[in-house]
Amino acid sequence: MIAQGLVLLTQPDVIIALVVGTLGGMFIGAMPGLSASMAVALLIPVTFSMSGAAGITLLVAVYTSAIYGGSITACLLHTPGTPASAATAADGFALTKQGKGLKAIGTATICSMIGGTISAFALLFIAPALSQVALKFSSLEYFLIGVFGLTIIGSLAGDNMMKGLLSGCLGLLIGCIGLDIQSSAPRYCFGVLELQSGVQLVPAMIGLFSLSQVMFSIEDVAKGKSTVLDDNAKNLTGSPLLSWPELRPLLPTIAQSSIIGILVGILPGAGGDIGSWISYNTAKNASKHPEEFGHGSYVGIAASETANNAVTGGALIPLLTLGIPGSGVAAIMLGGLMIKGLNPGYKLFTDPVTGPVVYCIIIAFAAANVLMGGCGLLVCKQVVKISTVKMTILAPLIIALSTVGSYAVRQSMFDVYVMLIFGVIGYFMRKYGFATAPVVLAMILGPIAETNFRQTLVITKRTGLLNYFLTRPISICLAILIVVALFSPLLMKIINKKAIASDPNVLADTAHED
Amino acid sequence: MKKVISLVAALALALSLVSCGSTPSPSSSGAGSTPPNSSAPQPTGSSYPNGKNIVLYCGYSAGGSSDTLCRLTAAKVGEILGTTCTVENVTGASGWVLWNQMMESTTPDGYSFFLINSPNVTTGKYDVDNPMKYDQNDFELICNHVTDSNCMAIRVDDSRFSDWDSFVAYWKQEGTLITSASGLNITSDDATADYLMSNDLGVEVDIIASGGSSDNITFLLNETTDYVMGNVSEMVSAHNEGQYKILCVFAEERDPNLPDVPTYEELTGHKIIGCSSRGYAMLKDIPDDIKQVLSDAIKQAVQDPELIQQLMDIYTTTDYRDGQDYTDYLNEITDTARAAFGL
Repeated sequence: MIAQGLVLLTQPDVIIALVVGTLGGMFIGAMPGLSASMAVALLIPVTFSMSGAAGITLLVAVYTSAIYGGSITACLLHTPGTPASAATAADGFALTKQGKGLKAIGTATICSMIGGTISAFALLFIAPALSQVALKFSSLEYFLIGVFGLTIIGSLAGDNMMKGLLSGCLGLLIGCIGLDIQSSAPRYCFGVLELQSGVQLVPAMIGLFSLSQVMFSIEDVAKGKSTVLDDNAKNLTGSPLLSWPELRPLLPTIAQSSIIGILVGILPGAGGDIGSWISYNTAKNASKHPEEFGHGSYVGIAASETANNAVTGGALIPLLTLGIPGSGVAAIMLGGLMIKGLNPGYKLFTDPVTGPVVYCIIIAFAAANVLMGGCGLLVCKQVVKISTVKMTILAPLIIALSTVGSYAVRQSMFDVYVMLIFGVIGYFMRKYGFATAPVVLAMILGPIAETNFRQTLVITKRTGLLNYFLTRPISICLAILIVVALFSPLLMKIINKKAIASDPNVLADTAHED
Repeated sequence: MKKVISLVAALALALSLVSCGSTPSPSSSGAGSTPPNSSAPQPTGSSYPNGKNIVLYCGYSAGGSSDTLCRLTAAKVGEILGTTCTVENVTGASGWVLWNQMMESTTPDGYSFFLINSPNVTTGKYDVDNPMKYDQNDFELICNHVTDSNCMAIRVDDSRFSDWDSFVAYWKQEGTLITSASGLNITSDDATADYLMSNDLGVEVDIIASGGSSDNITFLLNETTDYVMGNVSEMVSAHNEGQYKILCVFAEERDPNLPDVPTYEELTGHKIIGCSSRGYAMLKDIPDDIKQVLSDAIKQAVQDPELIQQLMDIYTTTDYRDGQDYTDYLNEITDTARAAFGL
């Protein structure tokens, strides 16, 4: 079956779809507002006239490469092209300012490629076994994942924990806007119909990240600085290719992030945005130098970018085997699959007609990841020169792109106003030391936590919440994880203090380590 | 440096073109486009549509099943009128951002028409928590296109029941079962069917508010819910795959996609009809001659054998209704839902 799939892959229309999808996806992903889900949605009608293998190859190639494309602008301009790259923006942009943009993009490219390819192999070889994971999670587990995700705010808060928590609360509050899930009563809508679907994440994120960055750039211009580069970094240095000594310390992170990405991808409804945050946080907690995160850490970029591309393959696993989409983009793809007569299920893989098509798509997906990596490395030397362009030229361009991107999400002027308002909010927040990432994270996770908590209350109406909780091992593990995540820094402090108090030599040792 | 700047400028230009393509000029996809050289009958006495683009507005996002239907239909309408017909998505508030925009800020020039679907359009006005301003009687109805009947399914490996009789017996013994639906009130056809069924059987049902049909199926398969209520087009494929077992459909007759599955009436002797339907409407103030040309073209498109076949391939059943028949059909859906909720 795999061999037949390979034969199918050599068809000219499939190859063209693969190349066009990969290059087009990178381009679309790099544009703020033009996200992977939008690209896939708009391409579905285009696939009507194509063969099944070519059509779906186009969609999966666009999916993974758009997620990667988002990292380019995140690194260079602090403008994540897709929400999945929001976690990359802080570290990537810090490196760009230091003149190390090339290496930052190189790291993102290589890690995206590896993450995506590993997830493609997971899809190829262990999809049926892994798909069962999607069914082990119900509302209570999702609620706990949402809460666990919110603990990440602690590591995004920057220098001031209290301000970080306040940012997170703001995000939670914004996440409350919209129709109540249970009663469908409008909340905080003030009679504005557009608000009934909630504040859209993409325009809000573009405002908080990109527009606020432009405002800072304008400030810099007024102060006499002409490019985003710091004064002491006038020359672009480095190569996009990582040397072995550079790559080796990233490997554990890449492996860990691939697994996190694939697992998050499999879970229905959790996509690249959540995958990259969780992976970033895990890498930070495991790191010996957590203080580098947010200020130009290659490990941070590797964690976020490996995971968000690993999500893509993961999300296709339950989609193809159970018909349950593992992410928002996969949900849109479901329609495209059905139209091509590819009805999800185990039979899809074994049926003599659809089997080769599915294997062709999976292999093409792996190929798209490699192609994307290769093309990315080829172009990044040119692309990185954006960081030397005068800000007086870049700033208006970014504003134009942000506006178009916000409009394009729903073709709505309302979203452009949302972007502008969040731009101003983001500017003042950053000005006064409030991190903006917790707002975005809370806007993503708040509604997930709320929805699933309220679903859990209905589910456990008869059995009782505690009884239900105690019969679900995954929930118990997640609850323990949350407790550990919340209290481990505190415990570590106490243990360290005790150790120091009992043994003065330790103090000398730790000081030496620093 | 100059080179870089010109490169960036060219990039920006290319981008704005790309984005324009998906935004102000209504060509979010090429699917609906056909060259204006079709040999279709041209309207007499009027030059409409005069080669101008016609927009089919869809209140749901691109890529979904409503959007797919619109795009397939738009291509046909364009062919018939010898012009282009494209789809634009105006999303939000379950279709109501679109319908409000149509009623309040669209010129009735005959170059736009829109998708309406029950139960959203037929029940929004009666949603106690979030009442909407309009319903089907505010629009000029053109025709119904597809009807997607409700059906309910159970897990194949459920140890507690395996067919309709054992399912009902278990429900009556337990008193309450759990299911899920995308909404809990009158605007959800699934919840409406759940309540109609439980009222008829004299039992209770707890409904989890979910994100939609794929969530509902996940809830069933991971044993969170006892049964799932959904629409035939979304459920046939996995039923055929053996992932779950559809016990009955809530329709007058058996569904062509599920010839072996009985209707609720066959099983109980009581009639319960539940469905979601999709059709088209335009504004009432469009000049009569233009109305005639446009609605004839849409009606012709909907009955096109090729389109009917395309839809059958995705388990969607064409249910053409026009005129008074369509009006009565939608009003009946409103009345059934209001009765189920006592509104």
